[in-house]
Amino acid sequence: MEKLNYIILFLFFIIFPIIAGGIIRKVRARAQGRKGPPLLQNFYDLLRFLQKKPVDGFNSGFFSEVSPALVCISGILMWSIAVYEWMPFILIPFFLTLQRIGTTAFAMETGSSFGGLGTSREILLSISSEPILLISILVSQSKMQLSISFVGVIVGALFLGALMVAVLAELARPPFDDPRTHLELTMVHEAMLLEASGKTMGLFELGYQLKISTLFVLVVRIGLEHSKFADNEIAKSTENIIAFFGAILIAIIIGYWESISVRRKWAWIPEVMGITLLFILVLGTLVKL
Amino acid sequence: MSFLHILIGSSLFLPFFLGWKLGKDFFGLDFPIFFGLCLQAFLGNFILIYAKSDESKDRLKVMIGYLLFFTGLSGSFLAGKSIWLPVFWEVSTLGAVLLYFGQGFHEKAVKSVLALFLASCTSMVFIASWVFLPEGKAGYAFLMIGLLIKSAFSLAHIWYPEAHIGTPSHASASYSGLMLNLPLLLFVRYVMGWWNEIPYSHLLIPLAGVGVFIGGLASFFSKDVKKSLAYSTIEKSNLMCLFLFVASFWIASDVEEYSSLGKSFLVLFYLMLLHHSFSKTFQFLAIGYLCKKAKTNVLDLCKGVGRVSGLSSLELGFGTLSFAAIPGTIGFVAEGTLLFLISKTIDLSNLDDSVYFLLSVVLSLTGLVLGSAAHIRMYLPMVLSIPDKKLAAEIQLNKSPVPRGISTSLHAIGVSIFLIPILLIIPLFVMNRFVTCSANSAYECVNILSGNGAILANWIPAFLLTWLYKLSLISIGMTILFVSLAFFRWSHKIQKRRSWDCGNNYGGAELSIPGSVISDPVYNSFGRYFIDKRGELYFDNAVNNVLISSLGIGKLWIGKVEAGEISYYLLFSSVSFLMSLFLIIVLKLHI
Repeated sequence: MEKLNYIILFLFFIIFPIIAGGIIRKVRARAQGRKGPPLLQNFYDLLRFLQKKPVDGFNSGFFSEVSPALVCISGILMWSIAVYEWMPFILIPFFLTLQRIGTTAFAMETGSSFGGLGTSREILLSISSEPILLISILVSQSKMQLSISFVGVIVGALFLGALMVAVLAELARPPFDDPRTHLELTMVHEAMLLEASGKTMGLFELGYQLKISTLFVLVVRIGLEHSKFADNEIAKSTENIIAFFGAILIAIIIGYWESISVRRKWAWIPEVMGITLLFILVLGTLVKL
Repeated sequence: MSFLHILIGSSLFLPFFLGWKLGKDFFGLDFPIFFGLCLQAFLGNFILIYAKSDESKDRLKVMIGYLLFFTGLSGSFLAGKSIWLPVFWEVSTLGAVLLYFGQGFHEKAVKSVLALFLASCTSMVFIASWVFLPEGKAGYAFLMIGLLIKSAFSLAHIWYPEAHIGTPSHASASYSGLMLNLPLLLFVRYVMGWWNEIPYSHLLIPLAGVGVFIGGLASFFSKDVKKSLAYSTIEKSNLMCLFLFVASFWIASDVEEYSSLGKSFLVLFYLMLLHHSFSKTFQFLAIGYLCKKAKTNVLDLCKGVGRVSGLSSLELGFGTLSFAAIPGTIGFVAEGTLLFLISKTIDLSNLDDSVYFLLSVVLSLTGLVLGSAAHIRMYLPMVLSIPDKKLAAEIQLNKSPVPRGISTSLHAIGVSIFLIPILLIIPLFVMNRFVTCSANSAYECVNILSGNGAILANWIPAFLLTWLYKLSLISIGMTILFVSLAFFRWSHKIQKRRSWDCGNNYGGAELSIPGSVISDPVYNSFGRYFIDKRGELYFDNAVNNVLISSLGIGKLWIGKVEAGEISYYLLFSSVSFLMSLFLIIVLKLHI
């Protein structure tokens, strides 16, 4: 049984980051009446990038050389925590911060206006979403559990919904940003990587896909581990299979959400994140009481 | 000059010998004193080396200032409950004044000195009361108030940013990295055991959370670099006070669950103190050097100065990486442990005992996020943005190599930030195997080298020990990764740089961003409720205005009274006499 669990985890670790981005794009396209790119398009793009030599800008320096590897490796580490759970989830925010520093430092060092613009927005999003993410992860470390009753399901759904708002902000996806457009008005992540090319771009993109995968699996695992139905009654391998398909379900939901969502104005973000934080606090207090 | 350096150096190491002679139990009750002296010995040396290279004028006075400063701090650590404590406390403040001679006493420097004296004298009144009062909760309450004022605790923090605005960077590093440790460690040594006896002391727990939030917020929005770092110090100081309060609350509990958590929070306090001392010292020294190059403390005007300073972006980034809690740094160990212990607190069975702490957790987490973002907000524009052509030309004109003392200090402290999490594993392992503890109370420990059990069982609960081992192992892995990337550049090495410019000679300075671009978007939706347009807290400004107005009453009186008007003087004297009489009668009746 343990061997089976290791095989499942290994496949989970390799397959999900390759298909996560592709699922979102495919579902979004289908919801908009388009055929959409192949499921493995992100993977093909990644291979293409990794085979090309990067072009370095005039102001490139230390961070242009080390940031791509740092972002990729921190992505791999936090993805491994989400899948294998070799450390508690409370370490995930630290690797997220390492990724953020790597990306923003690269952006600022290139000296372009887009780099600064993207950095400023990225930090705004991180300030808004990090407290919610931290509180959710702290709750995930506790032994609190919700029963499979009507009230338990509603409270759990509300909590995970609030967590998803923070995840969308962290990933800079609609309604916080639109990664499809590469316009000055709407760029965050892409603005920081405008000067990246070739292998550099490939490593940044891989890091981003790993970040998406980590946060989706985190949401699923928090839901599974804190609901009473996932007690000792089910085997670890079954739990991991449920986590895998749960993460795919989240990718499908996000894909559909992006097809009907628009990017909201920037000033709206701190306000909605503040309300989300209060909401999650009130919910957490009620559960604890 | 080298003889003076040896003399000052001995003022850093002599206290250990003096402490041993005085019978201090450095590995037992007096461990906080030993800890503070160790930090002072290591960091003090490098601050001194920095100061020697940084100051060109009146260097002798600055060095004498450091001699008095370190002697004062050491004496305060060792004095205990005696008249020597207030004496040495004021000696250190006097020494701090001499540190300003290198740059001169301009208006801001005078304000800084005044703020320092105000805090020192105010806290000294309370500390002196403790010295002269008999043993009891009243005395320890006074001591606690005095120590909290000096550690810039929530609502009593007003003096702290003012004390930094006109201060030389090495002096700022000394205040934040060393002087701030004194009241906190004296709290551990003397107040912890009495904390539960002091009435309403548990109400300080949420206040500490407020202090963390205010500190982080003000640090993020401040337009002055030194003030931003000062508010960051307030944030961390209040966080450490929070840990001390929680530890005091629970450590002597009969319930094992609470007692373990109490001990854990005490360990966390030491980790955070280590992190703050090293990282903040680095930040003040590095960023202070950049501000001196730019000849301003205004963040936006320092844009890009790091690129032309002579120091690399990595050399300038150690402190920022630690405050951002990047895996591998001491900041990561401290903040990772904080999150770990918060998650343990959530599971406590009795909500009443954890409610004060959990209330302050939310404010503290927000404050921590803002505080970390504040350091990134300073580092990215100052070090990585492209500098204005005028600033770059000015610096190139006066170009000189980075003084050796400055680069040595920064390298030593910067490397320590990464080395400490790795070295942590050694004392944990050695002490756990070879040293035993035989005391009964939760936080007292008399050290006997008998190898019959683990000392750390009485100091660090098993679950925390396992956690710290894991963090140390992760830190080792991450440090190896960083070093290999930084030195071997195995992922990518720049061969050739290309420009996209099509003839406009775009250098990058025109559009590279200053620090305010990062904070301004957050200001309009969130910051404006607490911070004014100059980047200052409404609360701090209001208190400052009230204080300055109250100090100006004498001038008002002089303005209203004409010379020779005896009746006004009689009125003033009579009112003062009556008020004194009233106070004496009330006290007599009360006693």
